[in-house]
Amino acid sequence: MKTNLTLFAKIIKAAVVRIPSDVREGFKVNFIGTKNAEWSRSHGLFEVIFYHEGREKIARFDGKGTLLEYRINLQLETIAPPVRDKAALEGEIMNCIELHSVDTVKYEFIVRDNELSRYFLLTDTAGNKIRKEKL
Amino acid sequence: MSHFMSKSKQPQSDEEIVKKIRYNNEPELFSVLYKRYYPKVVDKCYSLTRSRDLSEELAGDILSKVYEKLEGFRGTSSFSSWLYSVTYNHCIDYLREKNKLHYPEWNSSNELTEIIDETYDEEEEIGYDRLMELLNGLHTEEKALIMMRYFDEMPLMHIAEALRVTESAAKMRLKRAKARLLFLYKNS
Repeated sequence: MKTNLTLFAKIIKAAVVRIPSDVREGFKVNFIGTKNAEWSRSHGLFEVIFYHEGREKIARFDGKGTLLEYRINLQLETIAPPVRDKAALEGEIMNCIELHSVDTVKYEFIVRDNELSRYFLLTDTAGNKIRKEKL
Repeated sequence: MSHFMSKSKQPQSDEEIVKKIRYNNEPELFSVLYKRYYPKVVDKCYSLTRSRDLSEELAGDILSKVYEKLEGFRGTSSFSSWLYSVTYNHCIDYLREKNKLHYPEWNSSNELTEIIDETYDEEEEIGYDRLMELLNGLHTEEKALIMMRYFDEMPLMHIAEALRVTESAAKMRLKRAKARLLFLYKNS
């Protein structure tokens, strides 16, 4: 039976994941001065969630340490106004994540309508809707 | 997993009961699941609503909803995981509507002033009551996230579905919830 000690520790402590040195190096090169990195591994890829430049980020690497994509959690007031204004036409913005992949930047929003139904909204950097799905 | 003794004295799993309800036309067997899970569902509701009366009412609604949705139970997770997922979803939706829970506003006014060092000294024991007290210092959605992930060991994909957020948002909110929990612990 789990003790409460281990339950609290389990919540707080990052899981121990063996990370290849190439991947660690890739992380270090791309993100300087990170804090509180937590790694996980899935389908041969390595994902890390961490703080960088005061913001939460998630980055994904392949086994050779190549950065595949990263996401930045944006405070709502820091979203570029043209993007924010267009997204707001779809509903009240509840969350915004900036997604950087190889050569594109997109925004992943969670918006909700007057009935409190929530939607996933994907836009380009001009705020144009790419996809919208009910959550 | 809990069991009950049938007439033949054989324990029946939740999944066996669900199969009998669905394929053998034995809806009365749902009462077994109801009795088995009602107190647990009430407890989960209570941990989020902090009201015993409301929790009992919500638990009744949740179990009725689960009965109605039983055809949709795919069996990719255990019945209890599915039930708890519906429980969190129902409670959070209720609180968002009735109590005007608004996570972005709360988060904005409760932002940690600095990024704290997340190292934790394992030597000190944290009792269950103390842990719940600390969790009560979080936003209800953050508390639900931690409970789903660490009490009920739900996959992030299911957590995201239950809270109606994206998986990335669930991961980031969970990270923030853990940091805030540690902050409360270190500063109490």
